[in-house]
Amino acid sequence: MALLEIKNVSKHFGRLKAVSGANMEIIKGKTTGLIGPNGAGKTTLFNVVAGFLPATEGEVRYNGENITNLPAYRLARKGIVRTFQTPHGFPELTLMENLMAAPKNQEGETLWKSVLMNPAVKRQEKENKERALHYLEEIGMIDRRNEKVGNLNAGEARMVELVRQLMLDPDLLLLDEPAAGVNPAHQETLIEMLNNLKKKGITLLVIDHNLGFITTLSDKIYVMHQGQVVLEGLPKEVISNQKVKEIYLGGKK
Amino acid sequence: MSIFMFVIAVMTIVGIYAMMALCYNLTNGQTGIVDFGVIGWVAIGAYTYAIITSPDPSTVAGAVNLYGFHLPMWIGLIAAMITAAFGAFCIGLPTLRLRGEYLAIGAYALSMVITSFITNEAWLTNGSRGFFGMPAPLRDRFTSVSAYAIFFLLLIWAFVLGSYFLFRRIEKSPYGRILRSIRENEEVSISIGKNVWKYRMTAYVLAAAILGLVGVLYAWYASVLVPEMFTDIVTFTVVICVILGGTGNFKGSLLGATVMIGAQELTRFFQANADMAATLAATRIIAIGILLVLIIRFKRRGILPEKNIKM
Repeated sequence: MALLEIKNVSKHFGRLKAVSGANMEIIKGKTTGLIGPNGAGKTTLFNVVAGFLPATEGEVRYNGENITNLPAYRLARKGIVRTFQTPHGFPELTLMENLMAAPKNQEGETLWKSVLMNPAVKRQEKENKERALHYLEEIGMIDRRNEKVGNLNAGEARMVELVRQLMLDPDLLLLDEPAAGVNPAHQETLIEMLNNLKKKGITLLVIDHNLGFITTLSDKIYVMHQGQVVLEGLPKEVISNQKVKEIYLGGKK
Repeated sequence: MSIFMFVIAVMTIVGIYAMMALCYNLTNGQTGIVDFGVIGWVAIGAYTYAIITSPDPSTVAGAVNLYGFHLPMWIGLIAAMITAAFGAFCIGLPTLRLRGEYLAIGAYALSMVITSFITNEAWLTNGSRGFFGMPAPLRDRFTSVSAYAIFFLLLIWAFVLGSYFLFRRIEKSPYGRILRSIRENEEVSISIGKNVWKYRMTAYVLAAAILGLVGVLYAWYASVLVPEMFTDIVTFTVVICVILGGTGNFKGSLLGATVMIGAQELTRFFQANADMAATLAATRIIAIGILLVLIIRFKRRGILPEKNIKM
């Protein structure tokens, strides 16, 4: 069953057709890869799906519901959670604060409840704190929990961003180059974590340049080139495809 | 006037500025909103209070304003807070969705409009003559002027500390954490499902309500209201108090206001002859400017930098 359907989605910036007529089906519980050279429109498509950019035309359906152009924060609450190509997080806040900001439906999220600080708020804070500590343990940064995220290097910030978004309990996780800048030791942790997410039934849509990384992870791969989805298939079909080689190696069109 | 009474008077005005600084620190320091309209909400609060509590103007010699409802002080106080909050809600609707500079300019423009309004719309505000002889709370219970001055100082600081503890509580709460996350990165805050506009709006409206309350305290303190009291110099003094004390640190706002306003008022002790008086007044403003430049250059995060909440 398709969790997310992208139907004929286009995004134009003036005369630049960043994405034109993209069609994709993201199957529930599966990992879908999205590859393509720089400027192919992958991140733009991501932004449209996650509600960060309005679509010029087309439709995005999630669990059968039309979600085209809903505000991004509402999509995040519905379970469509994204990461960013350049992870910034909240630089002046600590790792713990970064993670603890994320959970949805926090009791103390409203002004009045936060002032009252009733037992329900405190209980939930405690639960969220435990979850955050658990995630930091998993990425090996528990000792740095009170450090500012602004002090982390790019790879570390990426790992923190991933676990911060996991605090939202996503159903569909959109990962924009999750492995970029992550050092080899952390990359193993990352792959293990992503595989665990798959086991838990979380649907992943992953953009990456690193074909090796994405082919081991994905069940299905889409290839974008110059704003269009040019190919879809199983990982081994895609990497052996002549057209993909041409696109990546800059061969003739 | 004895030194003691002078210090009491200075600490009272410090308290009024400290409360404004706390509010600016909530909107700017915590949430990242640049609100150069601080004095606008104070003015709205003060005039609302004056209109609600003043006696019928037809009984006052020379008054040209039409309305004065002579209602109890506490009704005036609540009305002042509600009116300022409502004003902030209205200006927030179009501007809080925009990025920082637009709100800064919008709010600044609004505060200019308010000053101009209270000067010109005499039917409501009695124009440049303003309101005068406004009673302070429980004044009739005290026979001695100095005893009342001490009581009033404590009253002001009770409000200041009340706001301080309220804001500190917000700072430590999940709500406060989201305010700071919005300050740090709006886009990422959206990606974690937060309705950024709603958070900005609630913080802005709360700050405006408390600034409306400051307007009432100001009216009690001064016992007169004239348009000259509500100029942008107050806003920028508050901004300097917050930067000096440490943006994002509420204790810093109390300290910043004490240092800044204390220094400003205590330098009135410098003796000057008539020729030098104007120069000295100008020098004070130049000194404030230099102080601000020095802080931004050498102590960017203020005397008490913002502290992270450790977990």
